[in-house]
Amino acid sequence: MWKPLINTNTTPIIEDDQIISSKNIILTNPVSNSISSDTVGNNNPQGNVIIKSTSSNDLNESVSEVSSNAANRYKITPIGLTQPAGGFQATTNTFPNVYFNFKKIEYVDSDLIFKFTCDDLNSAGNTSTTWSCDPRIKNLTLTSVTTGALKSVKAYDKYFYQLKEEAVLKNDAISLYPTTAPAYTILVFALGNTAYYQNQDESDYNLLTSTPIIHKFASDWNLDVYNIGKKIIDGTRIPKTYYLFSGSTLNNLHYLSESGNRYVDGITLINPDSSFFNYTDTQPGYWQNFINYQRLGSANLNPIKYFNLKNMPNSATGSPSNVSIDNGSTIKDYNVFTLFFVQMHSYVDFNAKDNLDVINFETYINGLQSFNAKLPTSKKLDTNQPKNYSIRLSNSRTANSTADMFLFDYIHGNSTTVEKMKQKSDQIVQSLVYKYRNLILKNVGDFQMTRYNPNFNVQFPANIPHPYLNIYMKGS
Amino acid sequence: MSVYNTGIILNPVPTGFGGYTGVVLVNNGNFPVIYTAKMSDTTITGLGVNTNTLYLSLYNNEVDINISELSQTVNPTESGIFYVLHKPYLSAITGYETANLSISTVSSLGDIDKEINIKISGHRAVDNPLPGIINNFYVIKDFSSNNLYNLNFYWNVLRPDTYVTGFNLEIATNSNFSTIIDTAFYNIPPNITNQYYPVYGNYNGFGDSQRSILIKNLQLGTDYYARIKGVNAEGEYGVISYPFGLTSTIPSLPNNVQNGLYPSPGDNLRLEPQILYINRADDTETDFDLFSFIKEKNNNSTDFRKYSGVYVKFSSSTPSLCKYVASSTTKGAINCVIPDGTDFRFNADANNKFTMILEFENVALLGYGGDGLRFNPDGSYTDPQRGGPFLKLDYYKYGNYELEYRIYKDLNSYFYAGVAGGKGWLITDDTTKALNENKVDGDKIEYLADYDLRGGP
Repeated sequence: MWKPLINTNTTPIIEDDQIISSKNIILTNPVSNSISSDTVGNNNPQGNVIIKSTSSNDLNESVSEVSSNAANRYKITPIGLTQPAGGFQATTNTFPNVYFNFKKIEYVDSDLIFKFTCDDLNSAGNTSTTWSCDPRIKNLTLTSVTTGALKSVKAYDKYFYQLKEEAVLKNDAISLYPTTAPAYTILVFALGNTAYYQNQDESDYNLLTSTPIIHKFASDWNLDVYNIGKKIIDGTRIPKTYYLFSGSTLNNLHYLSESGNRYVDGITLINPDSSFFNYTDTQPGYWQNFINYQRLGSANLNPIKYFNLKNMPNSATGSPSNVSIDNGSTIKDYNVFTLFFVQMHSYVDFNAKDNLDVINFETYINGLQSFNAKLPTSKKLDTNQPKNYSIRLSNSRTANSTADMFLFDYIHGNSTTVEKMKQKSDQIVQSLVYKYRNLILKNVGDFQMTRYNPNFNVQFPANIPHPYLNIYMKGS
Repeated sequence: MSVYNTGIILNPVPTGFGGYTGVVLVNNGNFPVIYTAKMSDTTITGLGVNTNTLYLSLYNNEVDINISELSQTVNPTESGIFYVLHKPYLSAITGYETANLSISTVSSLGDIDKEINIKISGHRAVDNPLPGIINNFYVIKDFSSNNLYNLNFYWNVLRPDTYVTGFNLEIATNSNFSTIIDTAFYNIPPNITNQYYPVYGNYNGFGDSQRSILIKNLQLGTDYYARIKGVNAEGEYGVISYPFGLTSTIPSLPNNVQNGLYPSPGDNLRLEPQILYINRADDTETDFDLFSFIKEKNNNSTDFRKYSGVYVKFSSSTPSLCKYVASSTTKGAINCVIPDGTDFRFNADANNKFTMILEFENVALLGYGGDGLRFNPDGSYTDPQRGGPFLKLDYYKYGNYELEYRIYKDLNSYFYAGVAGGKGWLITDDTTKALNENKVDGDKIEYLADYDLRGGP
């Protein structure tokens, strides 16, 4: 699950003769280079002939014009017929019935500090202003002053909450013992939008930056914590979105703010607003080092695409379909629906260098690393005295947005080692993916991949419904 | 100080059976002691017969009729036993069979204690007691090509005074045993070769000898209940025991099964098709032949009528991901191909499905990659090649039963079919002249892993 950052020099998938992504295709000049390929995951070498194309139709034409050099014009003639990717196969060319689902994985509550779930919901349309922690773990509630802040909704036989626009679920006086033990906080939430934008980035922007303040788990800060920022890359019109989630008892002003400088940086780091990302960086990599401390400190943010569950193919037709949610009175169809499994990890490397401890924050969204930070400090955390922490879950969507926000599970716990913390965090996420598998598959049972009579198999395209699916094959 | 017995009366032993008692010698002294026991001939009261039926032995299940004297050394704080074995005279008259047992004691220092004399009386009985409890009564529900669906009953008798000559097993289709469909008798084979041993069992009873009865050619989906009773030499039944049902042997039976007190009416022995569970941990595999694998795990048989499905859990034998790869576009990384002419037979669930459940944990399935168009030196070219599948699974039907597949994976596992093969490109420097011609081979079209999940420019 801990995927390395992906090499940036990659080619978008082309399936059959269709270009899935409207990105540039980079070909090698055959005179100076040859294209090298492996069975698995070869990187496309960069060359000096660049074919600009924005749709598959361009490549299907017999001749395309290319402008790689202003002084010359080139004639491009495609040769041969593109062959398809692999699909399912059977000796008889008759598919059996093949069904798919996620493997069931469970976890124990042993080292949890709090656990909010939707397990008690059993009907759609009920409203509440309180989300209660599992009392077996801790007596704790998050409440909202907004009437009907939480509404139970249902999709594919699973119940969860919709958080009303401009509603904040909060508790600003949660007494917790600060700990330097490796800790994890897991938030499962979703954003859905009935509106659809042809441009994925624009849709991304509308969906996500409309609700920048989603989560806060910190002590002593009066400021809101922004989890999503945007940044202009390479002068494109639409900014990229970044995710930053941090939930830990280490989010403690008196621990992070070692000096004035670090105080400012620390605050900036965990509380970046939209303007923070508006800086110029022409490097091709998407992983931007935006802070480099003089000694040990560093932080990285990583823009991640949203993944639209609409793209999950219908098992009967192979075509995408909207995500339908029953809110008790109506069924609402979402053109864009993204399910986020957020893992926030924190731990301390003691005496890492120069008698400094280094605080580590790492965030993974749907299994992909979106943020990490290393903050050096010479301060010692007082773990003997409880402190009041503030937890807020917010839907601050703007007035002109049509995005809706949904809450599923919110869990926090400690482990004895970093390795155990990551294992437990993974185990919990695997369990939660199984729990909400119906939404990812848009199916109340196992998803049918192939079918006997009439012979059919679905296609898992490059328009990824959700990274956890991780299936790629051609349909029939 | 030693403890001495001066008289022993054995429990009544019916004709044809044996019994034993013993003298326990405890050395509480500080030095080893040599005990020597001598057994006299047996006196059979009232019959005027002169034959030995009481024997001296160091074991409770072995006798040597030629030995009437035995010695053993007992170390300080330890104990030893002289067993007295009794096989009643084969006559239907009650009475006692007596003998004298004398034990002398010599310490390792040479001190000699007074000899101990013990009168042994074996009680010869005519009436056979009702058989006692039957232990460890369980059933394995099974299927084999020869016996088809069958119940294999196992039990034993642990108490040495359970004087049975056979067992009566009844099979019913209801729990109150009003509809008994089969009755099987198990007769304990008599000892006819050694007259110094009991006819049934040994001096210590039947020990842990396991007995079994196979009831075969039963019907699927029918309720079955069973009970078993011991039978004595007079044909009388003893305590009823009810079986514990299993689909395979387990290391230890529950206590109430071991002690014969499993409650009535016992388990419903309804025969249902089972799931064959298999684990497989690998590092890498190429063109994995799933059908051959499950056949091997089914005792190299393609007869799966015992099962309504097979569950195979694939995992990695190392901390890294295990990769199953295909070697060509005609192969899958995993293949369940039923060869022509195979007599593949199976059972099914209520929906007439034989389900192949494939669970993946830390496993990658990779189809064979296609290839882009390739230009040859002579100007000709090789066409683009398509990618191969990651799974090649056959459809199969046996009677009304249909093979289907269920695939479950964890978040680490991924399945990628082989990449597609792209067109080549002919590039010239002018729209009308083929000068400075460049030939660009076609591209392989990448796996999903190379898709930029983070949204590049």
